[in-house]
Amino acid sequence: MRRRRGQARAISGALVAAVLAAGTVEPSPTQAEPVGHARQVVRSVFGTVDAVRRPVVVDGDVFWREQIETGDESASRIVFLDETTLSTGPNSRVVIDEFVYAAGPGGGRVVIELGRGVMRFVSGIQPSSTYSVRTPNAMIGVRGTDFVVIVDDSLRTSVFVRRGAITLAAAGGGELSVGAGRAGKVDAGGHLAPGEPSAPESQEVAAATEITALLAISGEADPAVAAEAGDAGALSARKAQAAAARAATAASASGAGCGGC
Amino acid sequence: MRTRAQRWRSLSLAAIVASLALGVPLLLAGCAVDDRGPTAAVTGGEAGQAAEPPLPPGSWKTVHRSRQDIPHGVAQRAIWISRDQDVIDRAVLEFAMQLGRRWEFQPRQSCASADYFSQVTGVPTVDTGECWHVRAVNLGTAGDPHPVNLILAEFARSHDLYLPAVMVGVRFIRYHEGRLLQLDYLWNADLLLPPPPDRVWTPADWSNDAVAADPAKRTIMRTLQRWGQDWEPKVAATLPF
Repeated sequence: MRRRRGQARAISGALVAAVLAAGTVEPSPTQAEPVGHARQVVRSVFGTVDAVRRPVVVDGDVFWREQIETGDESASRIVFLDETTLSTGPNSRVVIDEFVYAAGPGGGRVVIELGRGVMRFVSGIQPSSTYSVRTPNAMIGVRGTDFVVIVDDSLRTSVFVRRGAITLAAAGGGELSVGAGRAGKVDAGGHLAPGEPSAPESQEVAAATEITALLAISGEADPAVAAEAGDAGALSARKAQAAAARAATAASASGAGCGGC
Repeated sequence: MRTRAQRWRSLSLAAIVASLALGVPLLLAGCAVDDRGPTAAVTGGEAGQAAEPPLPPGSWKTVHRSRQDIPHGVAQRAIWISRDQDVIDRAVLEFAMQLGRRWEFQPRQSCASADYFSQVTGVPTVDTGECWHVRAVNLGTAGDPHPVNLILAEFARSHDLYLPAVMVGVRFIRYHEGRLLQLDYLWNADLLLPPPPDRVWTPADWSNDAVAADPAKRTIMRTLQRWGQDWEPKVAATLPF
């Protein structure tokens, strides 16, 4: 059994007790154990833990309780010890609120808080019930693998599920199940939007796309994206569809240029 | 005795004839390169070799490399792809020409087109110019396709890879004193934005009108535009002037 955050907590707890007994300050972030690392960083991404702010760099560690902030046209992709993937889009702020990695039932717990902006969450190898995402006015329980959360300037929470399913609990009461390809919203007052779940709005799809585009264009492809294209036996079907589309399309057709012209 | 105007007209006529004599073989050269080079894996990075274009981060495979003598010079073509599992996620296409000292490129018409999502053109002169643009690329093989489309299609077929019908990306063109460099950096549109269920994106889905109507597609093209701005200095270093 691996309990990285559990260990970190135990270590931190012992340190805090010792520090309090000695009448000094809390441990510095360097004493914390990493819970993951940054796989991709596009432009401006900063992490803050225990009031120490630093640039997040590719392959650099990410810590429990760290706040990750992205700037304009910026993005990051963090992979946690349990293979959970957290991608953040421009002008976003997330906090790794809890991270306990424990094999076996009931052992782990992962809570990510999105204060503003947009993030994509692909759950790792722990049981789905391990994971939740908190926003200013909602709590998202994970029953599947891949979804996008947006907290806009008015603090409305939108969730767009790409694969699997989630439960969306509004701070003002009420809960909603949202399946793949559907979206749910909680307004700034903490109430579920009527008529949900619904098809995602085009702006929600665009926000989700921006994360994908920034990471794929500025770096290497996001494995989750390729997996989306290729899982569930869909790859061979897509391959055949693409081949048929190429065979049926004259290179001079449409406004698109050809590969070598 | 000929007047100054007559001499000018004669010179202009000679220039046109020379341009046609040069342009037709170059055009043909651009479409006739189809010999297959060995495949090789290379790693992308900012520090490309002197004659090699910069490749974005990741693992790249050379799927085609050819060199062909053409009238007054040499034409070269190379194609690299990167894959994610069984999916071709990116491609880089290079077309380069080197002409003899007496031959120069005319400002290229392909620097501007209503079909491009965006375009940036430096001030062209007789022998020097640069431009880059964001566009969708049709990988169709029907009719009389360009050899690049056929090479990519055959590579995907022989390696059982998923090659989309349309890619989106940035093309850079630079020419200077008889040297031309044209580089396409392309991304699999199906990966950047999942198409509707049970279908794939086609070139028509990425026309300027289609992009204008879809915020997600606009986001992708704007992201490419920003990437092009960042990447242009690397291309400029490959063919400096």
